[in-house]
Amino acid sequence: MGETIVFTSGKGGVGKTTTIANIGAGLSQLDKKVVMLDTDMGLRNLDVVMGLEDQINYNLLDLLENRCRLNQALIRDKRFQNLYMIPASLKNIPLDKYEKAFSVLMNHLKMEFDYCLIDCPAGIDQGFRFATAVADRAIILTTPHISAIKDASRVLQLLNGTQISKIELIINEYDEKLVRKKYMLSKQDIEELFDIPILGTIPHDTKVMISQNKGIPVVTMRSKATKQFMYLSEQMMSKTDLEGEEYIYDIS
Amino acid sequence: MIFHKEDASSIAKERLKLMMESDTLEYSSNDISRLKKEISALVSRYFDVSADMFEIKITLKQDKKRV
Repeated sequence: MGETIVFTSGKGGVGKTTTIANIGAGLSQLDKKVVMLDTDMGLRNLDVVMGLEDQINYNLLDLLENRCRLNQALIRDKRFQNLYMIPASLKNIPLDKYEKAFSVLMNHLKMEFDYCLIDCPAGIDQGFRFATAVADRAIILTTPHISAIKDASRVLQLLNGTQISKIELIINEYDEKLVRKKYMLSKQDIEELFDIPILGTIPHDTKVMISQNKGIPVVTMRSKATKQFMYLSEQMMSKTDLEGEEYIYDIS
Repeated sequence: MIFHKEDASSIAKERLKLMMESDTLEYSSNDISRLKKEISALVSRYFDVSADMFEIKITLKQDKKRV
């Protein structure tokens, strides 16, 4: 049985889509079977970041409305082993009535994939509730900017007390140099404010923009960000795969 | 507000702490700040410690959230 992980942030533009694309590619390089779902209806972007925008025939809404079969909506990324995505629709319509269908779909995907990564829309309204309702685990993305952290803390508040049992933080655009100068909040500062584990940080890296312009995940290039994305992919896995072992250590 | 260090990251951290507290309690950060000031003044009146020697935290018991 796979795991459904929602990537959320509250604030837009902090790097949710970029992070999903690269962790998805990273996990597939670590021999995991991964599907990425874009739930940002009306403003789909995951396909663009992955460079798969010309391969879309059907989307998530078609699937939820039974207009196509699952394998018609699943786009396989031929550059990676076992990496698939389902794009969002271009139509922005209320998703309330599809909640049941979405949960059925996710239960089905969890049987076939090791990881189902959900790209959540920015904001905390209906789209956010739709995307987070099916998740086992949440990753909150933020940058060290005060406004992004404020929004991330609001998201954490909303996720506390839901079915999501594991919540972790990733800090994007992190700059050790600025932290040393005390211009930027440090990882420790942010961890203290949130009181949840930090999975890791991602540095600012121009190669991210270059790779997106070319439509290829940055993890295929040598870069600072690649190193961190691969580290994050491993971290995400070890937290799941080692759970059984950790339990044994607890007893002794 | 009194900041021990005037660097940007410490100021940001203090501001965020206050904002996150007022979010949970659904009070404005101004009210929380005033409440804390009054409590510190009160504590200083009873004990011989100055306001910068202790910290005031507000805990909501029903959902065990520390703020």
